[in-house]
Amino acid sequence: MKKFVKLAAVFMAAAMLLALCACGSKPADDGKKTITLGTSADYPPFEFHILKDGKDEIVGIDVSMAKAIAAEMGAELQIKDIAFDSLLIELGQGTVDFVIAAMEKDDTRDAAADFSDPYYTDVPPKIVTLKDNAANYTSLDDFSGKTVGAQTGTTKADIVADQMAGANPLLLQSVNELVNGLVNSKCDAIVLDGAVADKYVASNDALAVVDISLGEAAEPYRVAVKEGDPDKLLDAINAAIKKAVENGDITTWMEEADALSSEAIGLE
Amino acid sequence: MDLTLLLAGNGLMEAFTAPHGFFNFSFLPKYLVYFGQGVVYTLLLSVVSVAVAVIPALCLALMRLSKNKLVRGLSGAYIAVFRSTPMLVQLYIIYYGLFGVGGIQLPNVYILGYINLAQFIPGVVALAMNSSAYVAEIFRGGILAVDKGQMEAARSLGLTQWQGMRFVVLPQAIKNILPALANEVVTMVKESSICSVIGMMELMWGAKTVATTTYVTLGPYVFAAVIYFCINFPASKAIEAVERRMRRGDNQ
Repeated sequence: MKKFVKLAAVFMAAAMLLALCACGSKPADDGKKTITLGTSADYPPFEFHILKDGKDEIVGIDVSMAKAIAAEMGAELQIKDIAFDSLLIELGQGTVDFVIAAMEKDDTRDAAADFSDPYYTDVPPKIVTLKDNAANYTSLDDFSGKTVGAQTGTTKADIVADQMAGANPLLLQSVNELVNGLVNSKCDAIVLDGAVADKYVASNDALAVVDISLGEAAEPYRVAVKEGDPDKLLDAINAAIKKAVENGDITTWMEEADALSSEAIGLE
Repeated sequence: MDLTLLLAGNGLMEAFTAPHGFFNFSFLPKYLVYFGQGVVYTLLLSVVSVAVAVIPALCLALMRLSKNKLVRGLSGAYIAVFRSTPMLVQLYIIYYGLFGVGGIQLPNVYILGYINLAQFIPGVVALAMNSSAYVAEIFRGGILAVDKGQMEAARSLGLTQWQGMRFVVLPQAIKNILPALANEVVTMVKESSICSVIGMMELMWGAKTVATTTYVTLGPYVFAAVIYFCINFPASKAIEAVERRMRRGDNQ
């Protein structure tokens, strides 16, 4: 029994030590409010990592939007890079204050979060396949029996499920994995956001966009905040969006992001 | 000219130059820093996790060998749960559950400029909790491998059960345990790659990030594999050498 008590004591001590390091470091309070953006930085040109003077930095249209929102609030911006399908989980938990990640509003997401006014409308999603096979597909019915890839938890995954009857969906976490799947014949086609599809096709000769329209206009991208907007962020966010749209800032940010992305691919 | 040879030649060129080429390492000089930081992160994560796991693991192992049914059962249950559920699931539950809302909230504090403690600590806790279940079994095996007569001799010399364990059995068990423990670090270097899913900037994360930024879709992973190999292969060889050295005294 004595042995057990001793063991229990050691165990308790270890647990307390752990708890202690957990609570030991308090955030430095410099008076300025910080606001944390949640994004999934694997999605050029909307959000992606670059090296600036040898240091890792997250940039892109959505990050520029977030900076404008932070400026509107007079807050300091912190960015947290999270997998796309975990973004709304973290938003619900309050570990991030808002999410900008080329995210459209849909019914499921609307139930989990509140959305701002639209800040950007992309060209409609596109279907990408290997250049050699692109001519084989002329209508959505041609994908029956084929494997079509899309990113988990996105509206593109819904397109595969709802509009391509008979297609086998292959759902992966990032666009990069999808492209790998396509060129290594794990799937026959992939559905991507328009701007993202164009970037990948431009950078890889083996890929081509299939000539099938997926609707006239895409759902616009919006900023997400916690359901019910408990911190009352939406007013400032919508004000910042209104300014950015009216001043044409979004177009400027798009060009900047494109240039940064091309520079990142440039590898010099 | 032989057509197949020509095709093979083209395929070979493609492997080095196409964006999805297997050996396309064109990202290298510029983006090496992600891999460098990743290696440091991965090593720190694995070594700290196993180090943190050692004390709970020893407790679990001793509890497992206890005569008290309840104590034995508790430890057995812990080990069973952590060995019978996937590491990835445990990571999600610990990161979003234990360290999520209503749990322990950590501030974003950075060490070395890129290791965020709000991610690093949950990662270490998850890996260590998982590892302690395996390390406990290593300890238990190591202790059981010490001849029963050692404890009997210790007891007959008037040492208590605990003293016998502490001064006679454990020092001998360490010889069996250390190599297995080092192997656990090697395993952890590989296993810790799953922490990339919660955005920890370790080696696998670095590969993923370079792949998406540069549109070079496969090369970064191949390069990461090479680095993992270059860490783990010499490490396991070194462990084998130490093991051989320690065995030299046996069976004389």
